[in-house]
Amino acid sequence: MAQTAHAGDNVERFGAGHAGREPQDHDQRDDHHHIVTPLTYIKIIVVLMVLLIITVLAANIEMGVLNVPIAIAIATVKAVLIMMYFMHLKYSSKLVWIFAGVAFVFVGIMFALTLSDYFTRDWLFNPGH
Amino acid sequence: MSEPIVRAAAVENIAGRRPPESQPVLRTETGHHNTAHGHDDHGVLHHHFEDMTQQREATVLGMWAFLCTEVMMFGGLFFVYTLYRWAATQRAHDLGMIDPFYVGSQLLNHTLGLVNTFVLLASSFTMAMGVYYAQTRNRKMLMNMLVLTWLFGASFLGIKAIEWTTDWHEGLVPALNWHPEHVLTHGHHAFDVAKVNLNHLQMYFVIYFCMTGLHAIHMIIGLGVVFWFWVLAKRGLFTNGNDQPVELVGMYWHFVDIVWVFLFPLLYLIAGHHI
Repeated sequence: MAQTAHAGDNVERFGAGHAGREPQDHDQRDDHHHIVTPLTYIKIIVVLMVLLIITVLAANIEMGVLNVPIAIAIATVKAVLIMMYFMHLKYSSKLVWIFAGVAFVFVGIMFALTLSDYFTRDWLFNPGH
Repeated sequence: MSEPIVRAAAVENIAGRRPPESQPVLRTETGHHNTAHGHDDHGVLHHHFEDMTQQREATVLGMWAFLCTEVMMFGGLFFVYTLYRWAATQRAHDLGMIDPFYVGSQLLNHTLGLVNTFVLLASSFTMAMGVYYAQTRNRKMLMNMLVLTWLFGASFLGIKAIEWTTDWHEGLVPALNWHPEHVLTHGHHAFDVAKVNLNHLQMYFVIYFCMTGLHAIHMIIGLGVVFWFWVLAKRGLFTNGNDQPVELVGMYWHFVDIVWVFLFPLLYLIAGHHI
């Protein structure tokens, strides 16, 4: 189920249920569990720190309306990296992906519907505003 | 459980053999779940799961379901932030005044905010390493990682407390101690008070304290759980193949980190729109 191997990743398979078992009772020890290695964690934390510095530098450059989207884009990249590697989403099943994504979908619905109301209220009373 | 035995067990396990202390867990040789016989009070495989893969997926799924509710709770606050920042900035722009959210962010200590972000990212790294050492059954290193995670988390809260104390002394706490005029005119960045809508500035600080406060509550809960897990880890509960609880706590910890990843640029790093 959750044991899709990703080629090129520093992941070794580690089955707690494998130890000392005979090969024939495969269904009883089907515990292919990914272990993300320290090297992967170190790479990710370095990227996160670099992105943090980029966020601070970007905020000090006056870019008008672009400042906020850039800050949110960098924060989103950081959040995705944390979810994929630290929270092991990358090695999880599709069902887990759906659960992880559904919260952001609902927050997106709340933002889209409610903001579209607020942003257009002026239009009723100030046509052309 | 003495240290050499644990090390030997970890080595032995990597070699593919079952370490001695994991004997009471997992399944009996007939393929039945050992917990059904009542031997095991912290069983690796609970009786209502078919196998370890199903158990892992179910617990991870449950944690994500909880984190969904957390995302939606913080999402409400992020929505409030978005709406009031948009409204306050628009109003200031229309009246030729200074963006109160920019003013509010300038009244925070950016250095402490940046240091805190580094500290929290570091705590997420040590937490992730804790999961690794639980999976590889290294009790000593798991305990060390939990201690480091706890210390980083406590440092974050300590720095946050310093910031809040400064805010209090500067009269920046809405309703309770709200006298921002002095810090606005005599602070590090001097602003023309006549050009700042103080009600909108107060709204910025209401949002600031609600968001950082709710985040801090999550940190306090996280510190409690990490300490509790250190006690359990000391007893070797997570280094006998039963590593899944550490991963679940890690997921909670990383989620709290992600919230801060968004809070830091949104609250501290608001670019100046000087008009």
